[in-house]
Amino acid sequence: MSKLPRPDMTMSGPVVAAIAVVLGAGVTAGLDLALLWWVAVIIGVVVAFGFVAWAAPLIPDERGAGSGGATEEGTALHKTLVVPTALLLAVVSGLLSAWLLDLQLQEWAAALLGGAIGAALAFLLFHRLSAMLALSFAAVFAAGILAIAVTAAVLYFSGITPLATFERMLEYGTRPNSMVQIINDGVTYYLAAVAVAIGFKMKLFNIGVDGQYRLAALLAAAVGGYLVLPPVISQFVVIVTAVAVGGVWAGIAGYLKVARGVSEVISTIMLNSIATGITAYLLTEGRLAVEISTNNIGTPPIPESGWVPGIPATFLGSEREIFGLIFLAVAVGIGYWIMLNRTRFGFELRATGQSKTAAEASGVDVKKMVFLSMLFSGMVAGLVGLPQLLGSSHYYALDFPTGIGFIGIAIALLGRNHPVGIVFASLFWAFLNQAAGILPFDGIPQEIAVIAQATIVLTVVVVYEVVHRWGRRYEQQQIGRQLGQTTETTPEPAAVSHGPEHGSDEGDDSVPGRSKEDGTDDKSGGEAQ
Amino acid sequence: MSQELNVMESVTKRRPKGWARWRVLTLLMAVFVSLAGLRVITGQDMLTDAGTVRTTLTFAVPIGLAGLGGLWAERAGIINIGLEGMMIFGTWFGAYFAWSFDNPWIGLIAGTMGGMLGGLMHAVATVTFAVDHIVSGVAINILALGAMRYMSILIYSDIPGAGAAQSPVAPSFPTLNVPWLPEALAPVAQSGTFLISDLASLVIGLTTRMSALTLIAILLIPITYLVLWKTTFGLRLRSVGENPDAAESLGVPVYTLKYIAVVVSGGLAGMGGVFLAVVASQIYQEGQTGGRGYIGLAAMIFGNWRPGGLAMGAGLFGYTDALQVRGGGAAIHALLLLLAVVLLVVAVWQVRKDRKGIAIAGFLAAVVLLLWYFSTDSLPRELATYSPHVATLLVLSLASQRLRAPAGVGKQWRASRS
Repeated sequence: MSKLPRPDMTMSGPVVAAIAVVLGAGVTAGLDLALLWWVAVIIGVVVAFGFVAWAAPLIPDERGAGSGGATEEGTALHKTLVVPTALLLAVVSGLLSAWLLDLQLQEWAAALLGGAIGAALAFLLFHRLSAMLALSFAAVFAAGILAIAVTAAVLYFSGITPLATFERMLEYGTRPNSMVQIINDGVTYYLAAVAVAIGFKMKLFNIGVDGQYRLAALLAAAVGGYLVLPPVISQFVVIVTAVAVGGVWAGIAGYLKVARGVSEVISTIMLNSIATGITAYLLTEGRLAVEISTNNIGTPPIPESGWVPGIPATFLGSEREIFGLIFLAVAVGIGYWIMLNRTRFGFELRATGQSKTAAEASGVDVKKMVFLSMLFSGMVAGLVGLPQLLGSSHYYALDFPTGIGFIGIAIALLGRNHPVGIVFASLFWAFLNQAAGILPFDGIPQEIAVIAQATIVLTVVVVYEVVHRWGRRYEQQQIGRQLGQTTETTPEPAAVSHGPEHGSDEGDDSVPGRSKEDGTDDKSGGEAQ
Repeated sequence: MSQELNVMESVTKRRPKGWARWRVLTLLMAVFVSLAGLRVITGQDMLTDAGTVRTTLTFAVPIGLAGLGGLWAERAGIINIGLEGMMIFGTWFGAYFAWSFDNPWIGLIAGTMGGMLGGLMHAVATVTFAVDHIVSGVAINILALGAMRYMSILIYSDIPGAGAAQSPVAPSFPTLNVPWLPEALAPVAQSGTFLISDLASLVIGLTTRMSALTLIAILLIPITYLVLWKTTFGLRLRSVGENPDAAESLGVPVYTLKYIAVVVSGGLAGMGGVFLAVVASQIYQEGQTGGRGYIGLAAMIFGNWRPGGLAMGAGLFGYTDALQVRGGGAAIHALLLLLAVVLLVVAVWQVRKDRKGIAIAGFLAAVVLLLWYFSTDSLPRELATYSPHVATLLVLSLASQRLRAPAGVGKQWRASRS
């Protein structure tokens, strides 16, 4: 891209972005006439990306990565990893949005919009994707490919053709009804994963989400079923009950950890089992349960005024409804993000998670933090059962879904505890579950989905760990090199020093003592869990 | 000077020499005597009869084996929450190979190997790649559940009596009996005398119909103690768990030892799985492990990362499980009385130590338990099932500040050369 001639002028960022979008959309629309829509989108986004890359040096420097990440652009890491990752991400998101829009719009319009979205993202990603984030994405991609390979191998060795199986899953998983199911499951998984992630951010393992949500759902269902309240108030009371029960149940573990030093891993596991016992005890006829059908007992159904209405999914082409409590999940996600990044509590939480001693030394009350984060984790966990309870089943019976807490752990790991990452992870998880539902009809065990899920969790954490370590070492080399440079020469004008001709093959010399720093830093390589 | 004096004082304050060695035995005897007393007072013969002893062993062995697995791993600094998954591997492979070769010993080997495979995965993730230990363990648990169901569907689909959730009936291990002792002791056991008949029941329970694998499992506890505490290898392995940096600087092969420990850990958990599948039920069933891997871990923490304490923890779980399975809602109800008395003793003890908060809490809990005991006749079945879990929580919260985990446990350690 640096070989192409450039006009001797500057362009402002928004102008480049606008041209890129027009270019992407135009190329896509044009090619759509001759080629398949997805080929057109890919080419359109790639062209737009090429233009963005070409125009990048023309943009005056107040934009771009110059503000935060010093001089990330132009380094070898940036060229070999960040740019391709940005390109891949732009293409994938363009394709996905085109495909989603295709359900609503004409094919050409969807392709055009997809191209435009892809191009806009190409501009954003090219300029804003930081090396660390790109590394994370690359790790997830690599792990995904590894997991697919392992799954294919498992299928192959059991005498099943992998490609046909994947195709079948993809076809079934993208049917309208399947997609509604995926979204609904995803909402539940999302809440569970956020509950787990709050603890993870602090290096607290709340394995007890499972027990917390089941107990909370049972008691909330009982409250909703036995107390007949006016509309809005009923839902409110049910939700508050669930939050309170979840919070109390997790609070026990938090208290034991803080006051008595009991490992939260063990205490939450015990509390899970005890919750199972209490639910079994309460869910018998004569206590909280009534007969629901011939061999099922549950709490009395919540009257219709206490339900949360669903959202009709006609825009996906399905008759079914999306849980109305999806908005609750969105609110929880936003609240989680705000809490982490915009409040003192969140700052202290992350600080404690990264180094307990440093946090303590700077005046953070670690014990209070442990207790509160456990409490918040449990409160969110209390919400997990509600979309199902208020949106679909309306009572808590023997067949209420169990084990979502453990799924939440896996999803939080997959989404790297990030509020947006968890969204994709939970949708992906739900997709695998749903898509595998067709396999038994072909005589293929649907547990292949579970194998795929477990493999992807393992590979993601392993690959992320490795990539993260490389990234850190590389970053330190860069810093060392830069320190060496700035002491030798006076800094050049920034616009020039960003050019790719600089700093790419300077050799591997570095400041002394760097390798030592590497060694010490490797140990903390896993802190971004 | 004054510091030295202080050190001297704290040493002399300790308990007499040799106490540590006999502590486990003393505690066991105290528990046994109080149970015998409880039996006499409440008239619940089920508390100590031979059947209960046998059932206790059956339930305690898998938990104990899982706990031993946890002990090996954690002594080398690796938290192994994947024990549950490794047990699942053990149940499946144990049942499958025992059935297909019609030989339980091949099942034992295969199940142990299956567990070791899980351990190896955990070791690769946590030792080589320094992934967070709990993350890797959770992933292994998910994987084991899915993979074994997948295998069941593939293999058992055409076999009558088997399917996705269970295997065909597998042959079991031979049982061992001591020839004439039980018959001789039977009248003594039935006499109902305090302590003597209880002891007789204990001996009868231990000498009749004991599975060979049970014996092996019981022997593994002293073997683990000897290997980990009395050999150079064990010392090195534990040093890796306490301070890997120091161990490495002395030339101890840290990675190798961690690998060995985690693989052995998986093998022991797998053996626990074989016991569940081949001895306890003679069949592989999905969900058979029922969280025993986790409970084994709890038993190990309960036992302060020591084999003897771990055996006691496993025994506690096994005992309450046994009472519950034998239909002993009433017997477990009797245990409430014991628990109340123990809590009262703890409360008095804490008053002497001038810790009023705990003393009051203990006292209140004891009063509540006593009220509960006298106002009901039996414990609801659903709650009785989970009494061991409540007991674990109670014990951990009362004793956890005296427990000491290996100093380097859970650390994502990497060798300094890399």
